Amino acid sequence: MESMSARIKTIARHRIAIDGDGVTTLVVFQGCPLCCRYCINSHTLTPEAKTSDLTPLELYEIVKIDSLYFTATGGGITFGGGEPGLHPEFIRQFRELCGSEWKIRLETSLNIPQRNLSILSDCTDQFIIDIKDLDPAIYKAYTLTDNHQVRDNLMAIADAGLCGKCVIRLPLIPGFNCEDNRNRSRKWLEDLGFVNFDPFQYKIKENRLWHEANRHVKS
Amino acid sequence: MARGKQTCKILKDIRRKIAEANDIEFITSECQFKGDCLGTCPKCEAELRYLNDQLSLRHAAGKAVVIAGLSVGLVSLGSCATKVDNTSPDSKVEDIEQCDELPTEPGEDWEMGEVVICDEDTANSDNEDTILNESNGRVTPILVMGEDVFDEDSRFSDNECSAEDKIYSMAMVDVCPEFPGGTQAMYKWLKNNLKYSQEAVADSVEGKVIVEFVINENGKIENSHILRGKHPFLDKEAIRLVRMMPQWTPGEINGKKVKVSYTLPVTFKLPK
Repeated sequence: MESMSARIKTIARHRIAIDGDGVTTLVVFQGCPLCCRYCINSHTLTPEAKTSDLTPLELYEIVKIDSLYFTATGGGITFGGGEPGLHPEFIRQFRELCGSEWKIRLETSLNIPQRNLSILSDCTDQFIIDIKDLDPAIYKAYTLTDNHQVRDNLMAIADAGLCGKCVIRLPLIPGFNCEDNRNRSRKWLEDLGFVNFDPFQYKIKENRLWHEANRHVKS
Repeated sequence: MARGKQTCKILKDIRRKIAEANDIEFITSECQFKGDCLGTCPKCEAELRYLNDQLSLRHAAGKAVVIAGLSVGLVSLGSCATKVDNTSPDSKVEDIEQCDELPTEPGEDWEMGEVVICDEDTANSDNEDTILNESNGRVTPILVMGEDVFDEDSRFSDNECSAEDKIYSMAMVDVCPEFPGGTQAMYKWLKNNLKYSQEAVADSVEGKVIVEFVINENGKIENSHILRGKHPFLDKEAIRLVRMMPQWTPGEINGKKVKVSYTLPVTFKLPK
């Protein structure tokens, strides 16, 4: 098997009931296609961030110490970021190493190529999808990115009958959307067949990169 | 660091349940540590290693091992990840400090049980475990927090076991153990010596088996066991292969030869 590496920012052990059921280890990838105004992990966006390149086997070597906890509690590895959906081959190879007893979860924006989603669907137990807001104008303003790929991917998941594998995070984004917007997003998703929703509200933590990029866009 | 204490308690409960379910004697004591708790410590990690060893022995003896689902429900999503927003009964305020910038000094900013990967400058600061892992020709400094946190001089002063007993991971040693001729030579050796049993061929059994073993101070293989099995025929062959390996060059810390744990995936594939 040809092994490849990914740039990983952080590995956090013993996250209990934070990133999915059970005891989980959060693996944070570097890099994201979005630039959200309130990004809580904005340090994963910059190329100069402190990271390390690991192969799937090297990552497995580090995280296997908690295998007993994962298996006993229905926990496992949660890949976050940054955008873990940009590393489908890495995650597929990692799944081959860890087997099916560990749960693999992805915290993703789903703003990823559909071929990535296709690979990830086969090796991921749960997608935790933060859709921001499905209104294209709100999404663009908050992330500085289009969301047509997100909608296409959500429809692909529904077509594949995988809605039950997903938890949809529905944020209230201060200054960008309101309860009505959120309800419209939820209705669109329910019509597709999604059933698991996690409504919450973003904390305001300003991302310097968003402000710089936004100034550039406006000028 | 109350959350660290809570994590420690939950993890200990899980260990106790696993021990009880598998009829393993498990003697533990209340933690008397009064300082900041990261959710785990060398004592907790030693208990975990003990459990793993005991379970491996049971597995090797052909006894049933029960782990899956023992503590499902003990830790469910929603208990501490978010808090309810009083102004909106249907909403929760995001309260997950996922992963802040890497702290350079130990203190409250350190998350419980974290393993943080950082650059060399940060890793070389005081109070950190700095490792230079030169596998694959790359230098990968790794800072470990929350487990086995020690400085250069205290790496042999673990309370739980002597330096002779301690088993290090590949990421913790200065010089990694090496198969004669290197990793490529090892894979070639495995390929040349791998034997498919007639039963495995008849059943068309294929797949990946993951073996864990220790390379001791003399470069000899010991404590080989299946970390993730595929099929009894393949598991048996993987163990046989590992046990007949030639002597390795042992791993080192500070010029001293030490025991190092190694994980090896062995892929079995029948010719088409």
